[in-house]
Amino acid sequence: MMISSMEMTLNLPKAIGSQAINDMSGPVSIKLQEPKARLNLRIVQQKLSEASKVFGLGIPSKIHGYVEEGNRSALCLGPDEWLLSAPEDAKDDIVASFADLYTSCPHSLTDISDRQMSIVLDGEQATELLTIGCPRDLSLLADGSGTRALFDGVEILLLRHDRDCFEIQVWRSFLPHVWALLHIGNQELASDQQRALLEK
Amino acid sequence: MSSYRISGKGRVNQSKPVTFTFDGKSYRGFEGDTVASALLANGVHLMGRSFKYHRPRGVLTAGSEEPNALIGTQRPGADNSRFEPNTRATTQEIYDGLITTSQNKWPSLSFDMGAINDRLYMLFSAGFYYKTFMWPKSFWDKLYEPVIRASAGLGVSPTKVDPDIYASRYLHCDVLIVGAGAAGIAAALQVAKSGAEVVLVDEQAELGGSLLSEESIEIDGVSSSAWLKTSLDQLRAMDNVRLMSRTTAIGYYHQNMVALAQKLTDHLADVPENSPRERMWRVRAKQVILAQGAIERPLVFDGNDRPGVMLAGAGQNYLNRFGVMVGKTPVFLTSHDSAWYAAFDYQDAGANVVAIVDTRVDMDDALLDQARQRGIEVFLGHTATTTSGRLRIKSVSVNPVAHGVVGAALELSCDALLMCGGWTPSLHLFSHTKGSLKWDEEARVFLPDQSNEECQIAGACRGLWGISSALEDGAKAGLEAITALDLSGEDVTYSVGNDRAGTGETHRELPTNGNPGKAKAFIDFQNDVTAKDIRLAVREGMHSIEHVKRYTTNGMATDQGKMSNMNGLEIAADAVGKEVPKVGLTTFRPPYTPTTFGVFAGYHKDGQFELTRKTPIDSWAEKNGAAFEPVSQWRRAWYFPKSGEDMRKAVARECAATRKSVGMFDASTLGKIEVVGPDAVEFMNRMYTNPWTKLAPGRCRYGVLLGEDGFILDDGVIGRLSEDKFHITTTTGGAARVLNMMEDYLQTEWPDLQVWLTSTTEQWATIALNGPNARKLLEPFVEGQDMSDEALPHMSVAECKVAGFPARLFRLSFTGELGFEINVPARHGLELWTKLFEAGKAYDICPYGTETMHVLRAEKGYIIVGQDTDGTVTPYDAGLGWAVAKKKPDFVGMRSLKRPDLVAEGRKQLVGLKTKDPKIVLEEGAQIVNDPHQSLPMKMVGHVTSSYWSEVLGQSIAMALVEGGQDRMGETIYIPMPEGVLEAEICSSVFYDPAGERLKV
Repeated sequence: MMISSMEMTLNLPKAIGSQAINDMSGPVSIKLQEPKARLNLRIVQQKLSEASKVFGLGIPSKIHGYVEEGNRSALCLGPDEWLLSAPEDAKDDIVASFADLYTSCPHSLTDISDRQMSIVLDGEQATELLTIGCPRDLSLLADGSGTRALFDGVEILLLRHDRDCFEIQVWRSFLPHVWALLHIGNQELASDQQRALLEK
Repeated sequence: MSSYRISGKGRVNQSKPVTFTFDGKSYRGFEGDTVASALLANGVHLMGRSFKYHRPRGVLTAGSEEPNALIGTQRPGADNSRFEPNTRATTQEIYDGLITTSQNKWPSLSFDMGAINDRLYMLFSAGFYYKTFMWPKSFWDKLYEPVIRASAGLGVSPTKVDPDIYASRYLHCDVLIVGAGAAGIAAALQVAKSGAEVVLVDEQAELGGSLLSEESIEIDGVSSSAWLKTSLDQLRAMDNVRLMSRTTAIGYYHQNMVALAQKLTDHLADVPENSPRERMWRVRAKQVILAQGAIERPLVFDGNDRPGVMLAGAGQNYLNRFGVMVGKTPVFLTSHDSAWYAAFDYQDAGANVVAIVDTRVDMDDALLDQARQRGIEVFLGHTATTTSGRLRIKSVSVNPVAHGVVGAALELSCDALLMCGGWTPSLHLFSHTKGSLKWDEEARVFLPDQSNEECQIAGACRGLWGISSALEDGAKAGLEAITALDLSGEDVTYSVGNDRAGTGETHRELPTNGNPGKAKAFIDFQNDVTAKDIRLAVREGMHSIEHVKRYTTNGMATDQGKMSNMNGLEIAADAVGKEVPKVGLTTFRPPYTPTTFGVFAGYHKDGQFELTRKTPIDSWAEKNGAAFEPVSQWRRAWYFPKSGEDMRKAVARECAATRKSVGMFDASTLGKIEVVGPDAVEFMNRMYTNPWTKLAPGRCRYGVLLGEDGFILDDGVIGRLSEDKFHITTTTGGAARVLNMMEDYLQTEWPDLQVWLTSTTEQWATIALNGPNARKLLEPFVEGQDMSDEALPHMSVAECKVAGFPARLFRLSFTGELGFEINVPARHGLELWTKLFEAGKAYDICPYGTETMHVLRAEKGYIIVGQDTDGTVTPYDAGLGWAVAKKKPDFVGMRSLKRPDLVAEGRKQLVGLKTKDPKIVLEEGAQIVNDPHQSLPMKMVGHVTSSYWSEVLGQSIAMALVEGGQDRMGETIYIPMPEGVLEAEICSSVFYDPAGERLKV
């Protein structure tokens, strides 16, 4: 079986073995996502609409705001910081368009496509699984919003797509630790269900 | 059925027998029994030996506050890997095959050699180790200490690694209720109705608290057990309610963070696969309700610790909850009404209650009537002065007390002595938050006063007594909690029949006509502290309760004073001649009860113990036999030993090969920051010491970063990619810190600057090629950049393609050889490395690690921040004055560099050292003196910061910080070491190719 260069460079823990990309050890579906173009945009709030025009998407101005249209998305992380995502083959065009914008509208658009990787959690117990490592009150994270957060002390981006579907983005070298803990947690959820049956 | 078990009584499942062993002997109990209740059902009272005196001991309580019955527990199976010492027999539920052992005895529980301590007890009073075993002095190391160490300690340490999984979770809720007795359940019902998210926890296996052992009370017209079942069923059915049993609230922290330790499998014979043994819950609750009840207080008299002497409430608990009579001919000794009800329950269950002995003279007529109706003999105004029976109580001597005079003793035969000295509200968790306590003079207890948290306290936890008041108080607390959450609820009342309210009085030592100086009247059962120990401590000058505690070790056992705090305090206050509230309590600390290391560690063991970051190239290094070292959170290839090589040989080979031809090094861990914006140059000028304005795009500069204090904080090569774009590199360990510092300045000091920062450390994989053949190897892979010295001079940067991958190519050198650093997007790092390595075979390419990297840079005198600097080194100290701009208006640290002590004479300065014997390699950190013959303490004038064997130079090299070092070239200094004094000469730190010829290619 061909191992993609993404897998090779990921340094996923050997204990997870061939389940590397999809974790099926428990009730939550845990899937490593294919790479996307990810760009860190920093620009003053007042000029955000210019960037929206160039990107072709209404970039949300409020922190935690997340907009997804077609295959592009934008997440507001801070007063002057956004994460833009798009398909990989669109990256060069986006970079070029923003370069054109720069003279009239200074900003920073930095390619971080290789810096962070994305994991999608899906299932009724996705929130419960996250509580294993995330100290925030997840009931306050609305559907269609995202935030910086922690998972077992590791800094992550946490996006909530809907009630039972989350996306974690984490830097490349932190991924194995986060992945391993999600895997342990998933197994534990499965075992919780078994133990609950025993105690009936 | 054993003769102490009452068929059909209690809540254990008498249709499910369970077999376990204690000290190798097999016993039968039932599902739901604890080890203590099952042993008692079999008539076994002797369960352990006390810590200091090795006195035979039985179980004293029925709960987690148990001080005596500490056992070792073990799961069946050959591997012995789950042994736990010091488990309380009162909390360990039995299951088929459970193996338990008593502690602190040799050779056996009934015949223990350690009991010699008991005979010599007058020698072993409080603080004895400060006054004994002192002479002869030599005996301490050889005899006394080894013997004391061998006999000290409680329980036997496990010898195998704990294989269990321990879990943890975070939980947010509206209301957390600690304690599921009457008050807690009433609070939960109240809160649940409002729709708030409520969590109700209890340390016991079953929720219900004292309701589990009060059969005759009625609540709202039904038996208390029926009410309990209905209420719990109701709560269980509600979506907004979470019930957790076997869950102890171990600590109450800031802003309503409560830690819960939940036991999941210790009661199960078969552990489901992958099930954690315990789980730590970190709960953030908007409101907390403490309903933890009160803990029964022992009476203090000579011989109050024999097996069979037990707290009356515990006796009642064993009877009503477990269906076990702890004795058939019990005596009840009390100063509180509650023990009377226990006596009535025993008589009604078929025991022959010998007597109720009460210290009080005036008693409630209703209680006297009930005793009379049952034919129980009553002694009022009496004390207890001693007991008899070594392995099991045989009798108690009771004496009348009239006008302060203790009369003649009457010996009452008994097989159990159930005592009650009152009830102490449980204040542990409340006190963790440093809530204030108030002294209730009438009840002579401390009560919770002002809380520092959003917290209500209900029931016996705040001194109330009786089920009716507990229910009412719990409901009230629930209402207060939901009101604070802007939710609404209604007042609830309960009607309680046959309630068992009551009061009592408390005592110090019970009055006696015996010799108090010889009495074995125990206060702290686990640490064997007696009443006379407290008085002795005070006589010896310990007047603060903190000193009394530590001198006597009262309250320092694993029960953390639950049994002993109040008795110790009353006696100490009396001895010191002060009021109790003036003497005060010692500090309560988490965890509330003994808690495993495992549940604190959670998932942080084995692979998850510590985060380890690896680069995209790490797997190649592992496959090729690299030894690794930790650098900050990363693991980095340290050296690549070939077969038979130790580190010294491997490093020598790697260094030689790199300087001879070409070496390759994974530099991916270095921090990278993208600086972009019209004010990028201005920002760089303000942050770093160097001037940046005239650095042309396409060129690099070695940047020095200071703190506000003027000392070197970080360094790295920085490339200017365009007018408005810089690619900063930082040290591996400094990456996050430097970015944070920069963002801090931008956000708080210079918000007007149009420049933005992004961390790109993990965006790029970085491969360094160094050596005379580096260009030859690299050139064929490069597209879009002329690699000649003219087009790509030393210290320049280009954006181009390498091996088809988009790249930022730097020409720089940390080795002094022709060098390049290729940055490619991280996903290509491994592939690029592999390609370069394959092609490099033609040039005998040598992969090297951090050790060689350190040696090569040291040969050139390049510093490593954090090794050659320690936060007190200025750029001038380090010989980097050339990097400090002369004409900038300001930069971080500029003003501090002008401080008097930063420009003073005699500062420690970085220099090179050559050992007199070139074969000797100095030790990093070794101290330097000018005169090795001076008397001690010597004046130290510096230390060795970096030290290596240089294969290329055939000698040892070192860098050091030495006072005034830059003016002392050629002088000899001395390094005293354990083996002798070493000599070294101060020299330039550029040992190799000082003119830099090797770069001019």
